[in-house]
Amino acid sequence: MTATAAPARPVRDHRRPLGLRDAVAAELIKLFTVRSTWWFAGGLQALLLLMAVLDDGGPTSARSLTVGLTAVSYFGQYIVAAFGLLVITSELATRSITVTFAATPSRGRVMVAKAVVTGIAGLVLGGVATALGVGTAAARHGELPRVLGDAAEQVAATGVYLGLLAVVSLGVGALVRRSAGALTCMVLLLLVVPEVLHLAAERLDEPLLDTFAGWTPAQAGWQLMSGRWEYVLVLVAWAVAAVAAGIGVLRSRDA
Amino acid sequence: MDSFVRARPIRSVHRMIRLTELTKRYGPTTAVDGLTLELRPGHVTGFLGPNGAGKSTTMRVILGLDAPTSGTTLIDGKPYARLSHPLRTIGALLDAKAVHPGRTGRDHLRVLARSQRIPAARVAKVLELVGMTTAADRRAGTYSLGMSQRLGIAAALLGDPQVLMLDEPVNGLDPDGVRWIRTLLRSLAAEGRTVFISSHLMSEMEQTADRVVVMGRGRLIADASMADLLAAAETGSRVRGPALRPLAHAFAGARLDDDGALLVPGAPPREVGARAFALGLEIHGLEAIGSSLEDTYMRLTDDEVQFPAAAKEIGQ
Repeated sequence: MTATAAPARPVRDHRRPLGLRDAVAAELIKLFTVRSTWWFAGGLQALLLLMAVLDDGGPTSARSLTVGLTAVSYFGQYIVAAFGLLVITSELATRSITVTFAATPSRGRVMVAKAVVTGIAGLVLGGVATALGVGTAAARHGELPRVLGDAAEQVAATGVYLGLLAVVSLGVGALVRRSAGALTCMVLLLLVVPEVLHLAAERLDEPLLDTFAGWTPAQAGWQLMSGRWEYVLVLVAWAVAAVAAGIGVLRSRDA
Repeated sequence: MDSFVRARPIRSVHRMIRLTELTKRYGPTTAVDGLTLELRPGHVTGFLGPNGAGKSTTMRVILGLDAPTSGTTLIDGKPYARLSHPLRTIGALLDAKAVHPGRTGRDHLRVLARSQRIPAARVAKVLELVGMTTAADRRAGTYSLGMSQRLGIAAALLGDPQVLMLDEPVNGLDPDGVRWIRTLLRSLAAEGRTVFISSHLMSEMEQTADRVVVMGRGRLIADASMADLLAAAETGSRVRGPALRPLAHAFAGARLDDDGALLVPGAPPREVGARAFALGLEIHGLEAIGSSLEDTYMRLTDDEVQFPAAAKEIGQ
């Protein structure tokens, strides 16, 4: 009898079945142990600060809020979309998803754990980046005390939007399974689909298509960041649908 | 008293892998065809077969990565998905390169440890066990194949599982590493664990495994102990002596080798010796020619070699 491997002695009760909490904790370690997370965080923050310095925000009563809104809608959301989809496509590309599934055989649990971690990360990254960006812009335009309340609401709304968007993107990543393909789909969904719907609404004189365009994630996000919180429901629906579809694909296919 | 408590009959009820009529098809290709197999504790079972024979597919199905078309695979009497702590029940290495290249080896193991509620201290222990302590904080993308294999073996050992399943574990290891893993696998089996390894290196398998499972075209060709398999193959004789020509004429296929010894395939020493005695020949040496596992394997799989790319194999 050689003592090649001393018995593992778990600290916490090791008989208790593993659950979502364990999967979430593992995903959290994954998030903090790859450099790409910091690239995305740094990129988003740099973008918001750059826009705060360069963009005048136009002739509005609160220029700093406009700067934050445009920076996220025109550029920032694509960074967050790329972040969200890579959470799953990087594992599919390296085949390390097989190791993940060996550790957590329930693919639904893996995907939900990823959604929790990705959503919180998107919320925190988006919220912090917006707070610093809008704060810088407000200081620059001398609006700081006056817009503080609205700015706080915008920071919260932007965090919620980017968190949910990251989850939508994660679901699309699981559906498409390839980084490049999933990113293309996200750009189409955020940018092209609403434009096409608006054009079609105009051509066909059908206002319902405009309504549909308003329900696409980017346009719902714009509304949310502008203070219309009911659009959270639209984004939650997108997130739930994308994750459910992603789980369906992960379950139906061999890993 | 302690050894009585840990008596084998009780232990061997668990810790085994059982496949029943396992079939896996990928479209028109049948990768595994009605495989029934039982892997028992206390043995190193070698898993042999040509490329496309279905070895990797079988292992993937056991881990629940691929869904079987029909049949069942049970570990400790349960399907993989029902194991309460999978990595503490069965440790597997299927593809050493299936690691995020940007994450360090240590962090890779930390993720797995946390997912199973294994204490973090165990990570340092298995890293030391596989000799990866110094490389543990480098990113996995910089590892050689041998280092990746060691990390994969560390991951398999992380949960101190009673069942180990390794696909081509010596692939990419240096001679020291090959000897190390041979010793490790044997000692794990000696502790009563179930060890299941596939390999293309027949000579290596001959030294490590004590049971052999051979597959070809998705079917089971042989399931035997190494000793039985080799004994069954021992059919020839080698004879030395001053004047063996009459003996050579007595056996079809007999020929002289480079050293001047007479090789008699298909006849055991008893038969050759009796004939030499009858012919009144002087004999200086007479021994059985044991066919190596490689010869036996080649003969067993002769008809079963499938041309590459027909079936889904890890690592292709």
